[in-house]
Amino acid sequence: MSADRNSLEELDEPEKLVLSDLINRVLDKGVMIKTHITISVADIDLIELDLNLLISSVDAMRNKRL
Amino acid sequence: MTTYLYGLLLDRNAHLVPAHIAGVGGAALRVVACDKIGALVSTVTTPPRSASIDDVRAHDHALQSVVHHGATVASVRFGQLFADDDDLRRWVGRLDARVVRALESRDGCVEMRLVLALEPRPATGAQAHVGPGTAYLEQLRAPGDSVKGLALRAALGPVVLREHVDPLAGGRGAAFSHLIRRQDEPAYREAVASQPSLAGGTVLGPLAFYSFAEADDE
Repeated sequence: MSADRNSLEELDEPEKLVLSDLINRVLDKGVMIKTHITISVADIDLIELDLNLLISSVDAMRNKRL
Repeated sequence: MTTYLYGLLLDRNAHLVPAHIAGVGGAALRVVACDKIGALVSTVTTPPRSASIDDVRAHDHALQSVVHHGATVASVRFGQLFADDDDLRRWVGRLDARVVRALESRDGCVEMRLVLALEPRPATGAQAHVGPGTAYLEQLRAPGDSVKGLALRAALGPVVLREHVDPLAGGRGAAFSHLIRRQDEPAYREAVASQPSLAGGTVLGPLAFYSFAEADDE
């Protein structure tokens, strides 16, 4: 993930927001076919970038499981 | 070998999906017929159980490529894996009817997203004219304010069929999702460009349905 880290550090604010939107929609939106998937977040850059979105993603997945 | 699912489309539109699109891990996309639904999949040897930025980008890029070739696609959430194509068909067979309804009623439509950064609040002095984008974002900044009920749809006009709004990154911005007819993309971009308060925004798309993948009361 070193390439990701380098590129993230070079992003300006609008680019970071666009990346936040990408992460938000791919991880937290769209159709859920299976209701019990588990995706770990191994890339620390994602957490640094937008912790709130990732927490909501995990919550959304948990809610789908209930 | 595992079947990785990216999105769903009407099977009658499967011919619009070219053979050269690469997905997660570089594997080629293909369409698995599941009755009236076509499932956009690739065969992966190393399932992406970890959400790396590269894999997230690959998932989205594969869907965008299919949309670019003219298909209407409902995105599937990242990380949906199936033992094989037969396993996939069993799961798709249980698909929520609202997804099928959305694909049928919104065939020919795409999702556009407008990502807006929040400008720093002026320290003093009265603000000049405040456009709808700025007004919305200013309300996002206020703790506890709801995002519901606030919209750009009226400002952008009838080109926008439906709208969904997501706050981004702790109030630093917002993503407006707009459902439009595919042929209206130039008019949509023109409508956004005509709003001075949206000048700093980034328009993304055409995309697969992320916010509009399920039909609602319309």
